[in-house]
Amino acid sequence: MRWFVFFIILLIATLLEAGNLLKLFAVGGRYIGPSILITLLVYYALACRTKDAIICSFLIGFAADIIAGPMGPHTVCFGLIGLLLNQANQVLLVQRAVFKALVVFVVYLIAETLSYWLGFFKEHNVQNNYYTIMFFVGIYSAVISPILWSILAALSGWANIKKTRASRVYH
Amino acid sequence: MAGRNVHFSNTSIFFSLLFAGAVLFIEPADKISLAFYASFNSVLRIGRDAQVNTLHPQPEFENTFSREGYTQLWKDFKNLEAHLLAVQKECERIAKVRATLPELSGGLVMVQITGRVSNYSNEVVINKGENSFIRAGQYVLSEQNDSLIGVVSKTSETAARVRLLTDTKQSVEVRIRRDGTKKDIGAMMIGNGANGCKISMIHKHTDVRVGDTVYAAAVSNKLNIPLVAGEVVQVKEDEQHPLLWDITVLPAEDMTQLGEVAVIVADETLLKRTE
Repeated sequence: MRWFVFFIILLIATLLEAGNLLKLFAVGGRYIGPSILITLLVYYALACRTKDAIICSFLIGFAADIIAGPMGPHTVCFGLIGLLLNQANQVLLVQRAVFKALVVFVVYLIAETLSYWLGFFKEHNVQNNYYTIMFFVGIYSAVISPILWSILAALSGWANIKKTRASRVYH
Repeated sequence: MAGRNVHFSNTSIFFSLLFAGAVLFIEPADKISLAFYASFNSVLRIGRDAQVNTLHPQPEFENTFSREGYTQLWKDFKNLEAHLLAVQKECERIAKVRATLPELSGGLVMVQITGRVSNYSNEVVINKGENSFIRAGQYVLSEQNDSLIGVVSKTSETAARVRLLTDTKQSVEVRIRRDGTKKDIGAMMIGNGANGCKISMIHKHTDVRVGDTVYAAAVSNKLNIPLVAGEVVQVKEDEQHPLLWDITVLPAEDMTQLGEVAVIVADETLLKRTE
């Protein structure tokens, strides 16, 4: 895998998620906006070999922590979920757009809930309407995930991703 | 050649990274986040102006008096009232003591908001930090310097985080006042995590009504005079503590519209700047 390409993709995704450009498409005030990093996590966890998938998942989690803070919860949760997804790849066949969206939605809910609990453990920060916002952000992210997935799949050759046998369907 | 043969198993890589994540979790490493926002400030701001215009389009007719204009006048009026009251008290004090002490005043640093920290928190990142004499705990005002919007929570050299009044971790000492009366109730206001704030721990015998003005209390070296923070929009019995009020406050400033804000820097920083 060409890590330089991965870092470029991750940087672009992080800047988009942290910046204001993507929030132009936000709904519900400015709260409900799509999460790009979660699609990155699902794609790389399913498409890469285990070793690369682990590293990618932790790095994407680290990027999510940089954006949202506090540092740590997303890194740990994304790393764990990335590994689980990669292992589940042997039984999980995600080809159709609707399945991709569904996986992204479920993974987003799990990852963000765990991160929130870990974050609460660290900073005791309670946010009202958290689960409502999370639910709708998850839906939004899931809706746009097939498009992002296609872009990532198109870039996979450039990134020289060494795919697992099971993941060869993700083109 | 030997280096090329080094092989790490998946398990060792996973646990190494998990350990790194745990260290990040335990250690306060929030400066990394601020450094990121400071480094990519210009990129992150792309779309900011369009966003504000999209959310709050300009009125079409010149003879229409906008809601923003009304709010602006309302805040100015309330601030003048508070200022007048403060000046009256000051005059009384001076008349009694017949002596004045030299008073140092704080300065304002105008900053721009780079972005909101996440979809969930009511924190924003600003484009100046310790290099511009901004420190944690300093009060942040709206662009027109006429209402309190939040408090600086974390700083790095070139960026800082501002926790808005609506954040659940942000509490501010306030005074509840009513037009035409001498009512002045002290309380603590805390954000509700959405678009408002809550005031609790006020006994039900206390006369608080919808429409009362909430001022941020003057705090030495942070805020010289009380400043409008919001307006009471709901007063109801606290469900858990029936003897107390559960008061909802709507901030004077629309927190989704913030573009440029002002930070009140303390006196010591002004002195350092002079040096």
